Amino acid sequence: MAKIDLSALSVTEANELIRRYGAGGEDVEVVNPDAKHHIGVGLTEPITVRVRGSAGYFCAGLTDGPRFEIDNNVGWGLADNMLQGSVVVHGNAGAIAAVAIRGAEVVVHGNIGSRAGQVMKEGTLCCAGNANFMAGYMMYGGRLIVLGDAGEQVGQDMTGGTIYVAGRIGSLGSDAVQTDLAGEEDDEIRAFLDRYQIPFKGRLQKIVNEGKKLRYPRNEPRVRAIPFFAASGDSAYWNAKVQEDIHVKAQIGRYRIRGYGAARPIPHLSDIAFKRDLRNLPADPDVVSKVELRTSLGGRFGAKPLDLSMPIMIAPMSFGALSKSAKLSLAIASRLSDTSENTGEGGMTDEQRAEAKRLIYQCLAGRLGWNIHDMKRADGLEIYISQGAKPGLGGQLMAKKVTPEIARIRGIPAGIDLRSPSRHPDVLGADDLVIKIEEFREATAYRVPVSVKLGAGRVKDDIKIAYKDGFDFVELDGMQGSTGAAGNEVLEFVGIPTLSAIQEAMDALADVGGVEALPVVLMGGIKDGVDAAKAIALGARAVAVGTAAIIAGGCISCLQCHVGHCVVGIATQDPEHERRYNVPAEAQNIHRFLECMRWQLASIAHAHGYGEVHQLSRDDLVALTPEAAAITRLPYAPEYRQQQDNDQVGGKISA
Amino acid sequence: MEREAKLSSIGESLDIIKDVGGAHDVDEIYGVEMFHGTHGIGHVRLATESDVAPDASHPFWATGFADIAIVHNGQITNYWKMRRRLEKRGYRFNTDNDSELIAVYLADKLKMGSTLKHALETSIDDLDGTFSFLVSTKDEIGYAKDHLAAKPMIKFENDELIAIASEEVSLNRLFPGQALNTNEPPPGTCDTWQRLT
Repeated sequence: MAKIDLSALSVTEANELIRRYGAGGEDVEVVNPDAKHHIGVGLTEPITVRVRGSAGYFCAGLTDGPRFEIDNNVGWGLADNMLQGSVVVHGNAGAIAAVAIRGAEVVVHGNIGSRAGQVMKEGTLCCAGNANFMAGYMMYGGRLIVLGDAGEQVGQDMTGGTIYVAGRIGSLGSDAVQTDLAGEEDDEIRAFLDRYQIPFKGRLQKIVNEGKKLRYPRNEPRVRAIPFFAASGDSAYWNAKVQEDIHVKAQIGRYRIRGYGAARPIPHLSDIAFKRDLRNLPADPDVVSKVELRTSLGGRFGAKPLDLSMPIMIAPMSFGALSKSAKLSLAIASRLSDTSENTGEGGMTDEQRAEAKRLIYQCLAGRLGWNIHDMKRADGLEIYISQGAKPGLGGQLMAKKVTPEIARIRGIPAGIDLRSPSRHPDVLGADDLVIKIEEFREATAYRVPVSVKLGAGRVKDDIKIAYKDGFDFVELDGMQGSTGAAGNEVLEFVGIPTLSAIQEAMDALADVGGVEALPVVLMGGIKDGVDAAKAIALGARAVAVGTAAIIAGGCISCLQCHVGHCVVGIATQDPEHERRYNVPAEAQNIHRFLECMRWQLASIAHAHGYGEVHQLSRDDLVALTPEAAAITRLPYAPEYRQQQDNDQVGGKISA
Repeated sequence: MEREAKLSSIGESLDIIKDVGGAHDVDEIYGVEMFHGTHGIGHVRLATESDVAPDASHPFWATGFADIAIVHNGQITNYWKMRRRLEKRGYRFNTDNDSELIAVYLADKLKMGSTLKHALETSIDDLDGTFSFLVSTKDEIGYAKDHLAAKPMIKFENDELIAIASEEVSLNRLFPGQALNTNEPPPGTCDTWQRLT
């Protein structure tokens, strides 16, 4: 057995050594652990690791296969996201023990802290002592066994899985119900306890999901919906769209759900313009070679940065919201255009990874599809805090779209109305986020940039936190950004416009002296290279396109993404509908659209006499409306609006 | 110089030190290690707004109320509402930092005749948001933890001392090389310890 002394080595050095011993099949003993964080993070070999003392946060986190034994206590997040293997703690565990586990067995002989087993999907957490507040919170599957007492709100919002409590149950959580325990099941539990040599002679009570919350029994009536974009054509009150809305709500008794983002007119990049008259420029097919478009993101802390050929990326969209075919064509297009793709929520597929040259892997609060193996083959790791369409809220994937394959990747039961939590189990403040970023870096040996996805809410505060907490870059999404499914009122009225978001972000960075240090990637209604140029002029390092990319790939903007019967095969998991999607053709379409954006961006920069696209600045812009002027503090120059009204003809650009 | 100087606290038996740096840096300048006393609280702040400035850091005290100090981990979400109420009753706030509210709130309760323990009990229901905080008065030390248990706190107690910290690694400094038998206070709880006279 190899010995590692944490009083002589840093945790990072120790973890490197542990992984190396793991590769050699040698067991490890860690002495003087001193309750340090991240011990054993990222280990994917089936060795035994013995911690001679207490461990801090995320001990055995992001692992697959090892057996850990901790002599004393552990802090938060024990065995975070552990795929397989086991952990035995002889003392107590802090909050969120066994968070997001996907098949491991975690045994704590002492007591466990609050929200134990939060968002766990498979595997077993067993506590011989007492559990605290909200044990089993938002479980998707697996077993939680408490031999002592459980605190208040046991099983709160659980979707699947089973909780067994031998002692007193403080109170049941919402949507949790006590039910009978079958003899066979009881035997299985006792066999588990025997295996871990935990003596138990008592009786177990069983708690499962009652299944009453967040079910949608009534669908909207099947009529051709008036497009949401038509709402504010005439009167703001009782126009045809508002009437339709009320008629539908009277039948279904709940809010309406749809796809996309804010549909009503709000300030946007179209409300600002370039000062320079770009109407009569000659078309130059060679202009792309005359402007430096290459953009590097994510090298702030020594990781291997994303070297993009241009400052235009594909925005995060999930496999689940989108079909596998749609995701595949996005990946191919991103490779052909030499930029990056993003997995969005719901995990990485082999096909995506094979096609995309640069793939950012996104981690959401439900940890759906999140695992250490995909972390190691990603080019970027992204912590999703929120998105522009619905900042502050979690997500929904309707049962129809939760196919067996998606369920398998995400680690959840198939056919459930999947709710993604709004908040990470282990990020409840800026200080927690620092430790979480550290855990990700530990797991990937500091090789990979860690970014944050932020929906535009309190952007000024959030950007300052992102800067201080040590992210490599930010993906900032305004309320024009889309989603696969959310309540209409949320999409229309929660969040702030993309234009406001970028301005607040720049103001925040100026306040803390971080303008050069923290790149901001702007998204949310970016529809062409002109928008991209304006965003960059306002201070964004790059932009990302989501909706525009899928429209290029065939989307007809019917906004019924949530139904699962997307007629072009993009926002569906139904094989019949997906069959309609021609991957190679659509990949070329998306690629051509991205190239058009590249050409527009280069043309605008070149027209200004710049050799480098990031030379575009605020000095090149004016505001066309009083709102845009107030938001951006650009000079108000409505006389420039005339330029906007010209059509784009041939090689001429209107800006 | 007089315009630049900011009052940190006035007290009879409580010393408040605030500066920029880690615990060791503060010790080097102020000799905290040499301090002779019965109890104390400490805090390191991750400043996310503009400046890393000592006046925005913890501990906070209550203007006009001597010898109370608090340190806090979390966010008080009904800060402005509670602050307005207390300002109407004559209290002054020196910063816009939500943690300062806790000190003023407790000072107000103590002034009205409450015990520290009772003041902490009411704070758990009156304050909205996430919090684990410690309070120190002339004779007592105490903690309170919110109902959600969102912010960490770990406790070690023996016949001679009570020690509370956010993480176990801090407590381990008291007894190097030993694994301590610590426990986590349950959510929505508070407790106090009195100085033996």
